[in-house]
Amino acid sequence: MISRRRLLVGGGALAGTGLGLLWLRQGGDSSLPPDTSATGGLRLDSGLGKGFDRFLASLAGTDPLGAAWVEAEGVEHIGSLVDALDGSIHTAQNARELADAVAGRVRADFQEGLTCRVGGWVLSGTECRLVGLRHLLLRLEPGNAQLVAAETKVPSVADYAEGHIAPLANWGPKSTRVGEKFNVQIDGHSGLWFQFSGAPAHARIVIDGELVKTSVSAKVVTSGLFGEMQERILATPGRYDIALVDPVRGIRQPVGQFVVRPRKAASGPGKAGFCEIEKWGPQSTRVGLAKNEQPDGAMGLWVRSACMPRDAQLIVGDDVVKSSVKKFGLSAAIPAVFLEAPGELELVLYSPATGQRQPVGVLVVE
Amino acid sequence: MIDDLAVSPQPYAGGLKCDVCIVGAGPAGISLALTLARLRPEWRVVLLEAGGRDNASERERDIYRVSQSGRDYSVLDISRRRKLGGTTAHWGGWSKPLDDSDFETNPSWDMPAWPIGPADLKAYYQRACDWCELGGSDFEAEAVAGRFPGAMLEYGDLQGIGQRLFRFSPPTRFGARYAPELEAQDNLTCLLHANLLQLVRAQGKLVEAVVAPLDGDTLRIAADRFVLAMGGMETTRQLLHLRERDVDDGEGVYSPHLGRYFADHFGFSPARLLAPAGLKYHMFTESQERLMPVLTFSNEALRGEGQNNACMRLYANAPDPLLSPAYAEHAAFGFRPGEYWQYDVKMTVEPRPHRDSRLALTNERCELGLRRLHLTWKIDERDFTSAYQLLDRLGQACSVAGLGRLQITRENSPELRANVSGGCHHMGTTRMAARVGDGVVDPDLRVFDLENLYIASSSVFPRYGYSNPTLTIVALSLRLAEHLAGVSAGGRP
Repeated sequence: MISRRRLLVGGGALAGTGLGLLWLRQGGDSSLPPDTSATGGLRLDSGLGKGFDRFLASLAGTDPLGAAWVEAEGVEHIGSLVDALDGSIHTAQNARELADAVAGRVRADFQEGLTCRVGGWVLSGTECRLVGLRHLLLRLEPGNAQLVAAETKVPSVADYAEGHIAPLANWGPKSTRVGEKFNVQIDGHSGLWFQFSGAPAHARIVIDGELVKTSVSAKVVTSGLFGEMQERILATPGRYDIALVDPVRGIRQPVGQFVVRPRKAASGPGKAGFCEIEKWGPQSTRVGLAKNEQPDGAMGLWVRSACMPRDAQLIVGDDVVKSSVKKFGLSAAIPAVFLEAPGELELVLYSPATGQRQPVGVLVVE
Repeated sequence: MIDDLAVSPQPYAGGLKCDVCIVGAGPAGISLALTLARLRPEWRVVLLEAGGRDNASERERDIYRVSQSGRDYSVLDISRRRKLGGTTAHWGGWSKPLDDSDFETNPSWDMPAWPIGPADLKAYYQRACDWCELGGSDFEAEAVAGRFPGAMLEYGDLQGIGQRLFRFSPPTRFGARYAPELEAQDNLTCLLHANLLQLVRAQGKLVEAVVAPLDGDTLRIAADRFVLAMGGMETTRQLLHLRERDVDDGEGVYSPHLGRYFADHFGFSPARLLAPAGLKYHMFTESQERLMPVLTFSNEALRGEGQNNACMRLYANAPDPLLSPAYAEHAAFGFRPGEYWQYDVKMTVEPRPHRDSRLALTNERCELGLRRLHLTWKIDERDFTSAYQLLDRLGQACSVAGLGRLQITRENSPELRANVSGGCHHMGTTRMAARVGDGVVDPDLRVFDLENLYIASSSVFPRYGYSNPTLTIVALSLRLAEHLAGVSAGGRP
């Protein structure tokens, strides 16, 4: 790992490092206003030349990483970061050489164990210095803030003005039932498709107010319900707004509503027995994957009910599993070994005091 | 035939005599009994099962209730089945032989590994695959990589990292699947609800097994040879009961190793990996065949560095906003072109044999009159260190190769180490050894100090790997069947 001391050597000046910065320094005249045409509108002047500035500007989406690293390491001096850059980066003659030099240095860092940690990510020291340098430089110009934010995320899609982004021919699927995934993709998410023509590459889909992973091609935008969002939406009947947003222009184009219908009565929450069950979940998972994972690897499952007996236990198939009665109902831990094979696990609440049993539903292991 | 002592004990009131008496009708007992009965049609084989065809009652489950101290073994109650078919009644079907290196003694550890090698089990693994109804018997990840382009990382790209393959049983429920064959085998008698009360020894050998249904009369079964196939805890319990003196400084049932080295595979989710899209290091189905490639240490790392064996599975998940998959679009950071996803990394880790992790008898007795077991489950902290070194290796290898980055999401902390759970695989407490001083059973699975008592259970594993044990248990049982029948591999008496 790179020591903090090593990073802080050097002053705050952007002056030269004594190394040959021939190409990098071209156009680096600080007496002129910065030319932002080659940096995607970002105002960024490292003093190492337009080529290097363009390179830093191209590292889009890395600002959160840079900010986290700078904060964690307490780095304040830009000059120290410049000084710490590898000589091969300084002496690059053109953009290709610069990219190759950085890639080579990154690889060498990993081989030599010169790594850094940012939010748990193990990165090369060179990566950390570059994204940190980029962050510090961008921070010098307040005008960069809006563009930087747009690079990474939409600040608040609810604030976007309604407008037109691209013509929409059709989209789907438009509905499902509680607990039922649809158009299941290889990573387990439920896929949605939208026939937009000419949507910009940076456009994103927003579902129920949240940005979701989006893929844009010339005629089709694909997205879907992922992870915890999928869990939440598929667990609760209702109508969920979908929109396409353009984070650069701050425009929101409504698409429609995705409908989650109640589960069919046969497989719905239990109503017989000792207590009515309002909701429970997660209702499905994948083989070997414990959703809502507990420290011991078990899957955390919750059953919401206003009248849970104080001695209630959850039975999964043939086994009583660890259960705990809570204010909202009951929580239980489904051991990971129960999730090793695809199938349906019948869940039943049991009260030892009364001997009563209450069907909860079926946990599907896909 | 299959008879239920709880329903019709009369035919056996006078006792039974047989050539081989096998106690426990799980995957080990069933595969052993049927194979042995077929190899030796002139022999009579008796297979005893304490449970019935249905799940055990609360009363029956209480018989094997175990007290605990030390690390919480939270899967204790769910990890055993007192019924025909044993734990295959609820196993997930995950199947894989031990890796070759699992048979080898780890130079960093203080106990020897297997006294037999992979070649000694190869033929039996093949047949165990049939017993477990696997779709194939090839467990080399590279063998299937070509069929699924993009599903696996290119071998050779990742220095220090290896790849293996799990296959899956349907899963075969041995009780239901093989009951018709048990019924049809003329020279085999399977008795249900036959609780083992006592093994009677005389002059260095066993002579009788005393069994009874819960509310019935005892039945004495005399045999030339006995096999305990009662799972990794009850088998050990019975051996501990064979001690006539409370000492552990001898051989076989008096071995200081009996009851020690209790182990189970443990797992946790410590990391996230940014890596090429579409990787399938998780279970997937293709043409009705279920497969699961996993990532491991390379053989060189295992052998050269004395690491624990471990495997990693990857599950695509929503990306961390701090470093989105688009980060991999920066070719200047060395990434190879292509779409990238983020994956949760799930690990299964091989524990090293831990002397103080053990089963011992208490003074409390169950309704059968047997002393109850007390479990103290321990894991050496260095096992976690090794697992995190594997993670580091994966991160470094992917990063150097331009194939990704690793994020540690859970540090190797006291909290993490305290909370891992087991995989319901009870191993190690009757370990196999070449030398009498290193274990409880010899390479033929015979208890060292008893000339006619054998063990068919994962309790004989002296080193554990990360593979689920059922396939190896069946392979060992098939090998034992041939040994007892007096035949060479695949041959006839």
